[in-house]
Amino acid sequence: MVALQHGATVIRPSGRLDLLSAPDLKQQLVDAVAAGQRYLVVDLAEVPFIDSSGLGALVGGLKAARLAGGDLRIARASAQARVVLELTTLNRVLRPYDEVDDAVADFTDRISG
Amino acid sequence: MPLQTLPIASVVDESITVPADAEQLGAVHAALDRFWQSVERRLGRQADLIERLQFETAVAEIGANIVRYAYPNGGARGAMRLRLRLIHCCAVACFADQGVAFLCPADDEDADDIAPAFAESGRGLDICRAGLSRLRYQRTSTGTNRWLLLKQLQVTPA
Repeated sequence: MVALQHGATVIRPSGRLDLLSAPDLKQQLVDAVAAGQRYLVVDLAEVPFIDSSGLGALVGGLKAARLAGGDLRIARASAQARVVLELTTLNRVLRPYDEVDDAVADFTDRISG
Repeated sequence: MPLQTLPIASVVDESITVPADAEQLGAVHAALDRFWQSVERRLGRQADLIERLQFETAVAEIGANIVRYAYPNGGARGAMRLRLRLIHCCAVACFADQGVAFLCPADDEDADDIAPAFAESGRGLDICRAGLSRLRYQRTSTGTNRWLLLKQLQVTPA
């Protein structure tokens, strides 16, 4: 599911983000950037589990967004997602926001500027 | 507040055998759910959430590793066996498969000059090592791959 919110594109995957589903998410993120949507928020509220493949998809989307002059944020990460981010220290690159609105607000100045 | 270890006699045992296929990773998660339900019945309380998630994440990573590498594209798909046990104060997972030997990625001198933080792959084993007390791999003389994952648990008094 994809939605626009104050100029940012919010993508809401559902289900486990793993070996099976990660390629689709990465493609969705890359396609969004290619379509000009370079400020991305991935809402993880409906993702109960994420593994290294899922992290790879998020990192891939992050790289695509930054190469286009934008960025990617994640929001509403589960406890398991936060554990994986901490184990990999990716929480320094993909800081999880508690709410989608908070992640979108972080983009506001950059989008309007 | 002092920590207590689990009763020495506590044993939980949960096993599954499934095709080493990405579609079957859900069975690994279901087995983990059953395992922790049994553990918590033995404990008489919920397990520490972070310890549980670290163990589950590592088990799922190894399962995915077997799916990804044990039976290369074009070859016949074999099975992977997973046994989950609670022994003393440790959560123990054992994987076994008859696929090709696992080759730990060596340092690649020709690797792209990409900062590790932005690598899109190669984190699976690091996730396991960071979240477990022990991770071991063995290739037996009969051609079986065996993975041992061990997470020492601690129980705080109620």
